[in-house]
Amino acid sequence: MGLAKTIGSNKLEIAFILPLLIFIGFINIYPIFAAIISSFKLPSGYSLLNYQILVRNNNLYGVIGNTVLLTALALTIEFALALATSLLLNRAIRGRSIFRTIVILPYGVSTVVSAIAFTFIFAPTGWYLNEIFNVLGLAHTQINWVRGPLAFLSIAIADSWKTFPIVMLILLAGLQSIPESQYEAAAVDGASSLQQFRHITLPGIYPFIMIALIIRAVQEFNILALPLVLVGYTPAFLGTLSFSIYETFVLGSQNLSSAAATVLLAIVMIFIIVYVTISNRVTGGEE
Amino acid sequence: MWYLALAIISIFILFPIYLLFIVALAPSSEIFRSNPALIPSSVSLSSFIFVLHHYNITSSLFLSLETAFIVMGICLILGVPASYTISRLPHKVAYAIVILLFVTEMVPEIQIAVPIASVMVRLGLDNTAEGIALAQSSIILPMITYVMVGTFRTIPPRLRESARIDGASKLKSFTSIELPLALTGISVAAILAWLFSWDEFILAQVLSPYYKTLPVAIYYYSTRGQGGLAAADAFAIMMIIPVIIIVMVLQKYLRSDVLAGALK
Repeated sequence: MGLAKTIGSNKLEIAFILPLLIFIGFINIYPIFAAIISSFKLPSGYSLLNYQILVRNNNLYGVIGNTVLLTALALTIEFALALATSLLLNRAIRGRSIFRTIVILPYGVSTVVSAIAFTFIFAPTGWYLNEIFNVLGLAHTQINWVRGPLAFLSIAIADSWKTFPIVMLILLAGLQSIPESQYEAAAVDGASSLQQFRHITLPGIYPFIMIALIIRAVQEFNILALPLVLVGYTPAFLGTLSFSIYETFVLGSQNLSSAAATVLLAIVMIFIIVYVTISNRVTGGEE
Repeated sequence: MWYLALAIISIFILFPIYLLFIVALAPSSEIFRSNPALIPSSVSLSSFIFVLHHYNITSSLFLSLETAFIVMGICLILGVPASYTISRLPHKVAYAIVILLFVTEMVPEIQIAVPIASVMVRLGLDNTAEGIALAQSSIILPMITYVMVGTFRTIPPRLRESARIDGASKLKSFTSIELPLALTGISVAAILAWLFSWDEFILAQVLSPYYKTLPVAIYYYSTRGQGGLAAADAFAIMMIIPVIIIVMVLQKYLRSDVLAGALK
């Protein structure tokens, strides 16, 4: 079929989809390439100098390490919470619908607001977590939860609060896709519930786990709004990639900021390729 | 045993929300002393009254509302026809477009924020609702389109085929058969688009630092505002209550397949 004929018989489809593609090209693809080009730009021409400055002055490798650490921490916490909650919700227990409503609540609390709520818990002087420690007699000094290495833990916990319900819903869909008959057969064969979990449940929800974790990893790599409020934009702030981008941008160095952003994009692209490969394998290329 | 786990997770979720309320409702004398008691002995609306008198609520509220409705409009106008078409394309073509949508949705906001901002400055759209909405659509539109592709896929193709055999044009079968059937899914997607714009912080902050949307204003007041965190908190509560109600009402539609596409 010739191109002209293809276009002729699919006018409606083209009219329906072209505006979206043009819009995405203008508002999404163009800025991506503009940022990449700007990252190589100097007043005198093009070079790798912006990247060299990032490595030398902005501790690029350390920053990437920090980002990986934060991502690993947050994903561990939210995955544990999500798995436990989805297993609970998959049982026919009383109060399940109330519990489901409670679990979905953080989804409605915007990121900036959830960061304020966790400020009340983690703030160094006189707030709840230190108070609880003092009451229990565990610590009498005021621990600063939002500085240094502890900040990673605080951010990971606060972020898990906001995002684990979504991971949970994906895992729950996975659990519900496992046919009940598999468990019945296993029970007849005398498999313990731990064995059932290992040999039926885990393999059954494996693709769902991978999809949820990869998408969340990408978002965790980009995390900015939450630490900006919780840890603050102060000299001792947390060094992650997205923070470096924001910092260099605020300090007025657009090209440097673009270089950091391009590094972030490159890492995110790796995640996306892994995601596409996995979802391809899971669904045989259907979606 | 099960109920203990249930109780612990419920407390973990509810505690921060509870804190938001007791801090906002604490009498101002108590806040400056230290953290308010976990079980408040008295309740005061002084933080809310302070916010109403000293914060510029209406301009932020209107900016956020305007932005969110423009984003919703863009998503409906561009997203509905496109997602319908994608759902009816041959699998290989559809797959390529879905991957494109997914990639654009996953691009870090902060990466495109700066180039978009410079475009908006050139177009004279910086510090306007239109500018913020266009920028936010770069992330939200691919996501919402993806969600709606899922909705249209649930409609059996034979409905359209039989309409075509009866002589209906493609456009006619779309407007009279498939669109009405997809209306629930489209509505959910539209509300999600609205919600994501309402919540979006990074792009709004970079594109419109002076004329602030609600999340940007909350951030500003929480770090630099008079009245401190308690007032920012009262302000935040005014912002989240309607959204929490929306989420609870939408709950049964927030299935995992919707959320997987709309994860961001």
